[in-house]
Amino acid sequence: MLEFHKLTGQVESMSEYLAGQEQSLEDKLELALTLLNDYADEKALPRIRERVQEAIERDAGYRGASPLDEPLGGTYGPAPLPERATLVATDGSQIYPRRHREPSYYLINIGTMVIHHGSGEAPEVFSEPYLFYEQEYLYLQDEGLTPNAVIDARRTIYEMTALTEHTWLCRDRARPLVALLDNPLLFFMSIEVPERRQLRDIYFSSMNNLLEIGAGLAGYIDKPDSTFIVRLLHLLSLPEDAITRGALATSGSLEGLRDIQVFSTLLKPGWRTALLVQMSPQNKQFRQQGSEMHEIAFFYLNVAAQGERARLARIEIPMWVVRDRTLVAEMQALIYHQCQQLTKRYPYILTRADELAVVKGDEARQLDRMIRVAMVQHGMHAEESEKQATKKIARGRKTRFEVG
Amino acid sequence: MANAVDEPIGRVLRASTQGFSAGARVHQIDTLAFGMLVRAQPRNEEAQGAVYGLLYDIHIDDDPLVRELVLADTTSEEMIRDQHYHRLVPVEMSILSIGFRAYDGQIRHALPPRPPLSLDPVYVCSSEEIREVTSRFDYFRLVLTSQVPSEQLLAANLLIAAGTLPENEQYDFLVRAGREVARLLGGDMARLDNLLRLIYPSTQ
Repeated sequence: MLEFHKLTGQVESMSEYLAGQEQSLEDKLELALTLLNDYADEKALPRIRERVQEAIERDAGYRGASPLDEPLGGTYGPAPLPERATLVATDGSQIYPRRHREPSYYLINIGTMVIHHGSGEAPEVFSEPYLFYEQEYLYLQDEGLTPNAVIDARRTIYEMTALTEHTWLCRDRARPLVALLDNPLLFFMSIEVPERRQLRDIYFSSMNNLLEIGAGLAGYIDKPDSTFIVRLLHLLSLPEDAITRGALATSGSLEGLRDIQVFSTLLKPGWRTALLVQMSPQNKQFRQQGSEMHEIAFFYLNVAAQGERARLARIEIPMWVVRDRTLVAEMQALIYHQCQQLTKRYPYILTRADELAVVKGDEARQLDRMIRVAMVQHGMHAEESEKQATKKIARGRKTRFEVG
Repeated sequence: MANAVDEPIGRVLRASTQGFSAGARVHQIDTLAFGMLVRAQPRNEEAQGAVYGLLYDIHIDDDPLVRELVLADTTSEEMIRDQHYHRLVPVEMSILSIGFRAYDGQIRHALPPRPPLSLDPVYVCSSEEIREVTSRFDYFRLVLTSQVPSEQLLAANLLIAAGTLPENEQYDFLVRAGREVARLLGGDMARLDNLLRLIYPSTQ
């Protein structure tokens, strides 16, 4: 229960704080744009690379961006929209295991959509559920019920393998062939995941399959909070002797500013920033354990329609895509076109893959009932814990008591 | 129009003895028409128990994604087909019960003894069935006393029924129907006039 009258003062303070933040962000934005302007052209690229290399050599914990071969301030338009193309997108959802639910299980549901762009055909849709109930999946050795982070990692692998499988099946269809994920491609797993090595191998093997058939792969990140370029600008603003771990722990005088705020005034609808790579241990791992082709690059794309306020998404692509700039430009055009199908400016294909994957509350309850019925049919008794049963009573909708 | 079809146009969603609603996929909408005669068939596939009715409303619901697509500047053919073929946005049709096939095999123009069940298939009636049902006009009263747009509905149904007859019989059929309507609506000249204008033959 929320007592709203006790929040009035706090909401007022919050809005005052946010107004102050906005003013401060404007000053930071001005500074960032000045720095960007100083390093915008091609001639500045060697200086930028040198500075990034210095930060790496000093082991200063640099986590910002590094440019590839395009000038930092460059902006790039899309290719003409291909007449024909094949787009594949996958998304996943899950029902996490619950301690108070008997029997315990978890579910991963994967939704995939294939659009034969320009064909006028109805897209293909797929939804594949996987139920996990064996002890070895439900419990970590000596650590109790499998944590959600582990299930998330497993779900990501199911998404990637489904994406690869469906893209592979389309290898003879119209090109360009583009595979899209609703996640960053830089797949990070915490130490909690016991089978992380195997999962990573499967991930790289899926990427290899896509590389083998010459498919474009992209991860789409909506409204990204990333500060890779802001961190680069901060690094460039530092005197050489100030490049230290402490100085690079934040974005210094640009702290609080996000990349999309820097580029939202610079990118026309449909246009992208330069291609950059993120200097992170994960990306290094991708390069070392996968191959040079697995390193992940990114760009920001303005997905707003003409005349609208800028809406930037971050698009991550592997290095084999980076090396084919025609494919990059075509993917840019196709992703932008997908975003124009909905006023929320988010790819239609990802919206539908999510819709195919998502398990709604009543579906989850129906699955629960299905499992209970099956248990009873096998002579077992399924009971929820006292705690769960009590919660249900307290949260239940009030119903009118009627006589007659 | 209204030739027999082997495939159902939809399945029963909700029902009462007075009528029922059926859901169909959006791409089946071409087979539907206001005033057409349809049959809800019990799933035991016997003719007895079939409920006949007139389609008086076709309703298409929206959802947030459809609203998004409507507002977008560009919508490609593939997205529209995706909505029509894959998404669970059914066309809902409302049907007024006008008769049923009794256990003696005859069609009775009266409310059925029981409504069709959920998910019973709904078929468009064949020309033969339409001629059989409309060979008598006892169902007119059920239509004209219902809460639906009754003159419009009955007129649309009569024009469809006339279309199933040989050309030289159509005029006589509409004249006979008009006389029956005049008998039933003799005390309500406004409705009678409206209905007669709607079925007035364009040529003779």
